[in-house]
Formats: sequence, C-alpha cells, structure tokens
Amino acid sequence: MAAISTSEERDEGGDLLLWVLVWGELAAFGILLTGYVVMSMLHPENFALAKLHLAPRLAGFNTVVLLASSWQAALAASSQGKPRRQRLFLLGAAFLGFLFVALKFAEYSSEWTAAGDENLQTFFELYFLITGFHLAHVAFVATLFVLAAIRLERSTIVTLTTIWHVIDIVWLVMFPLIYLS
Amino acid sequence: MDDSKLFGSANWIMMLGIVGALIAAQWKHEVIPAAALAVILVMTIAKIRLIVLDFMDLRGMRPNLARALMIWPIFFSALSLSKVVLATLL
Repeated sequence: MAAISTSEERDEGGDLLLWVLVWGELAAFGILLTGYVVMSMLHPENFALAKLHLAPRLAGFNTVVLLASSWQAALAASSQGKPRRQRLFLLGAAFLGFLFVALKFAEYSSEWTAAGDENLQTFFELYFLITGFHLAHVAFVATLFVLAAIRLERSTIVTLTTIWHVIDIVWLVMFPLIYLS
Repeated sequence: MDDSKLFGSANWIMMLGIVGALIAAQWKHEVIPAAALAVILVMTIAKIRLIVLDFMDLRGMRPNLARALMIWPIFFSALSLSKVVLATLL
C-alpha cells in the first residue's frame, strides 16, 4: 500500500465524498417531502386551507432567481484558469442566493400570522421545517461562495457548484409539491 | 462545457422557469387544475434534466449517475401529480 496517495486518488476520494453528500441531501429532503405528502393526505382540508396563505407568485419569482444563480455557479465552474471571471460569477451566484433568502423572508413575514391557527399548525410546522431547511442550505452555500471567491480553489468550486445545483433541483421539486399540488 | 452551450442551456432553463412561474401565478387563491400542474411538472423535469446534464456537466460523462439523479425529481413530480389527480377523482 502506498504511504502517500497520488493526486488522482485524492480526486477520486473527493469525488466520492461529494456524491455521498449529494445523495445524503437528496435522501434527507426526500424523507421530509414524503412526510409532507403523507400528512397532506391525512389532513387534506387543513392543508388546502393553509395553502391559501402562501404566496406562489413570489415563490415562482424566487424559482427564477435560484435558476439564474445556478447558471452563474455553472459559469464559475467552467471558468477554470480565469480567476477574474470566476470570482465575478461566484459573487453573482452568491448575490442571487442572498436575494432568494431575502425574498423568502419577505414571504415568511406574510405567512407567519396564519401559522398560529390551530387547524393550520400541522401544515405550517412542516412548511417551515422543509422550506427553512432548504433556506439554511441556500444561505450557507451562498456564504461559502463568497469565501470561495476570496480563495479560488478548483475542487472547492466544483463541490460548491454541484451542491448548489442539487439545492436548486430540490427547490424545483418542492415548489409544485408544496405550493401548487 | 463551453460558454455558448452553457448559455443556450441557461436560456432554455430560464425560459421554462419563467413560463412555469407565470402559469402558476394564474391561480393565486384557487386550486390549480391537474392539467396545468402536469404542464408545470413536465417543465420542471425538463429544467432538471438540463441542470443535471449541462450545469452539472454530466452530459455524455456519467450516464448512469445522470439517470439516477433524474429518478429523484421524477418520483416526487409523479407523486405530486397523482395527489392532485386522486383528489380530483375522489
């Protein structure tokens, strides 16, 4: 056994870790979304009533913001060897990520009052848990984008952009499931 | 992937995102019809496919991984649609 691993071996190890992280995220959100679907089938009237307090228009706009952010992240990952461009795209992705967070908080502020209703409590508990968990991911990775823009490193950028795309995919699934169906 | 191809994919993704958001915005405080939801879900799958293949750069690289990544959104989209169809029928 070699005492020191080669850079290729390290890359494979990093790649494996990245995909373990990706599938871990998808599994976690999958469990939460399944729980949401089960509860919505057990309490269909309350869930339908609670959804009237949501803001699908703002959420739809937020979807476009997150998609634009994902594009910036993809451009950053494909701009290897061009540090100025890469920084710009990483900061663009981070800015749009923070915009998503700000819009989501604006959305929460209008929904917060309805959450106190006893009949709607189950829906709002799950809603804040799922969207809040997603929001925490967005805020955290957007912050990491800013740090990655300060210290450019290929593997870090690839990892962050891949996780960002997964966060985007989760939102794309979450939007019709929670807001529309 | 070069910038022009990425730009092309991004255009499609953004367009699908905007159209999906506009369709969803037509029913603010009403239940969205199953047909409209089906259209939005098909567009969601199309967006995710482009993200997986082009943004994540998996086109022609890791077909099995790309396919596996697509199963997750397809499963939840199907669940979402079947929930609405069942609610309409019952």
